[in-house]
Amino acid sequence: MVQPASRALRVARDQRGDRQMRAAFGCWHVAVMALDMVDLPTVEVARLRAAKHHDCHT
Amino acid sequence: MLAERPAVLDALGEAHRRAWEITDAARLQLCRYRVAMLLGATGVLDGPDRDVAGTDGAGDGDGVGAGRGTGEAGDAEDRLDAQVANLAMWPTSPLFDDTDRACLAFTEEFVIDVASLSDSTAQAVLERLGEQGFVDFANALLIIEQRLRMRLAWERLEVA
Repeated sequence: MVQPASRALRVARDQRGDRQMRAAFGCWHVAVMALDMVDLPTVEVARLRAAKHHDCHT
Repeated sequence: MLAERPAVLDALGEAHRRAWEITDAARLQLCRYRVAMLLGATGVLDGPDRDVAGTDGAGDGDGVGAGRGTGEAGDAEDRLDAQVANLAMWPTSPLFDDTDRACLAFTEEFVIDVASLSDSTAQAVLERLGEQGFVDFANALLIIEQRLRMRLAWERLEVA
């Protein structure tokens, strides 16, 4: 039987995976945040929706 | 569409390239096909994103077709073809091993409701791939899922 998700960490806090992948994610995030063709309220709605979807509490 | 946003395109391309390098390419390919099935996006798959040898495939319109391999590479491609043809039956088909099943179960929950992904499903992948493998797989899955969602959106918006 599948157990529901807990809030426990699944990996050690310092286990962040491949360094190059993290760097690429970081560059992508910075580049996306620098886009200016979408109005700020829409960006914020999208950001909050993504945070809720991914349960990342940002 | 991203041609006018080279910084975004470059970073996304780098993450995508790295996703195939840090995971088992054949297994990630299986998961990519499964994501496409769940999203109703098989129409935007025109081939593998990467072949099982890790070189660019013809898929997603951003790679160069590498053709079919020979010998072991050809056998691996045949196996992948058979798995893709039987992908909907992954829980019971003998074509899939326990690691494939763990990753495909994770993939399904990831796509359907990532915030509710169960601990037991995550633990099964963790036990088979180890901590770094687990994190790398989840990151790679994020990239391929995102890429398919973008292609779907662009196709519906009729954006090249």
